[in-house]
Amino acid sequence: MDTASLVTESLLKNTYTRAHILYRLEVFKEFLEKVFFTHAQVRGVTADGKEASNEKLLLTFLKGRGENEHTVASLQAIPMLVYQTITAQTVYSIIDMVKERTKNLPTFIVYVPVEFDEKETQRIGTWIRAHIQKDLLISFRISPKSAGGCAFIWRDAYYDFSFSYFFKAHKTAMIRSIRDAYERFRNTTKHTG
Amino acid sequence: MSSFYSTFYQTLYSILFTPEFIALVAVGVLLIILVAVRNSIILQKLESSLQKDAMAQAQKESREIIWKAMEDAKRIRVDAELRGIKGAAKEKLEIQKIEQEYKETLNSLAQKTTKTLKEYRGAIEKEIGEITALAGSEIQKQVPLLHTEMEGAKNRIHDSLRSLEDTLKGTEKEYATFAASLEGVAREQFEKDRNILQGELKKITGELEEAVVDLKKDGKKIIESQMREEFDSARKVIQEYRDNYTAFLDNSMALLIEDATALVLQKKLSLGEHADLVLTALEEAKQKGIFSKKS
Repeated sequence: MDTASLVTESLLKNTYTRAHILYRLEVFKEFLEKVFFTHAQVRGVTADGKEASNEKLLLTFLKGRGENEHTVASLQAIPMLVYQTITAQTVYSIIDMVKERTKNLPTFIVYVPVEFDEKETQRIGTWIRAHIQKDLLISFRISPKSAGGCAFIWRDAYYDFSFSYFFKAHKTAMIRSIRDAYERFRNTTKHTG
Repeated sequence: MSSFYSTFYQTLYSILFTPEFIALVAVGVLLIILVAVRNSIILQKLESSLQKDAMAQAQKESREIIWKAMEDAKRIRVDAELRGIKGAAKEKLEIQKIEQEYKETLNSLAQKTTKTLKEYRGAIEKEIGEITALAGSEIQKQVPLLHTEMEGAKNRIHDSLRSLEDTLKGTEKEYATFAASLEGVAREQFEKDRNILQGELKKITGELEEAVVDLKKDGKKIIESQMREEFDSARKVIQEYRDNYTAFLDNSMALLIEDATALVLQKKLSLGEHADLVLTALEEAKQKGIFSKKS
């Protein structure tokens, strides 16, 4: 497996949306720039020492940027082997290759009523990769109409599983119960009136 | 030799370029020109007279030719006219001859016809006279017989008239008797008919009364049925309206609930609850087999 594939696969492990993967790739690029253009002395250290140094350096870098645990975990998943193969001359070409491969990954467009944080995104993403397809990238679109569930596009077809869908399934029973409640209310009013 | 030529040339020059010689040459040239002009005029005159003669000769010849041609034409015309007159005279003579013959033939035919007609007329008149005389004698013979026959016929007609009168009188009597009997029969028949009619009338009246009663009953039934139909129809319309209105209310209520719930869901739920609902929805889609469908 080449360096670009290794990076892509590592990022995908803890990243579920296209936006997040591009963001984390950008953070990774900045880290590499820092490594190669400001901390060049860390390179060439013995294997154990180098790995420890790089891990530390990455953690320090990420904390310094105030990145959340999910981004930290995602970037820490990139194996140290990558740092050994990548050079100052190949940084940008590898980043471009990763971007290109990310573009070609299958995308699952989901319409949701609110913008989810990374925790909920991870929960939903985990379910999707477990039950639908393992290498899917989610693309969330905010749509208030999808409240009470979600809508999505799957194989070029639109599906609505929002509240409307569930409501329509139980509409008759719901209306009946409302009518019954109204009748009860009217009878009570008659008796009291 | 050369001195000779030079001398010769000098002499020649001395002769040629003297005024006398030049004047002489000029006079000579003038004379030549005058002679040439004179000759030219003479030639022109001569030519002109020759031309005139030729023209006169040509005119004369042409006149002679024309005259000759005219003479020939005249002779030919006269000849032709003479021939034509001769032919016409001959033709005329022949036609007159034929006409004369025709007239003569016609006259003889007319004379013959007149003669024949006269002969026929005489014969016919003779025949008529004979027939008239014969008829007169025959009529004279038949007159008494005719009188007798006429008298007999008169008597027979008289008898016939009397017999007819008797017959008429008998017929009148018989007619009176027949009329009397007929009146009686008619009266009886009238009585019978009146009774029958009264019976029929009663029957019809009864039937009519029954029909009226039935009609009343049927009318009542029809009215009742129509009213029932109208009532059912009205009830149906009301029921439809009620159902439609109820459906409208239900739909409005459903929309209201749907919108309100969606709004509440969007505003009041936490991110975790929203995520739960998303997962529930995805689970439902999975249960429906949407993700296992092949494209």
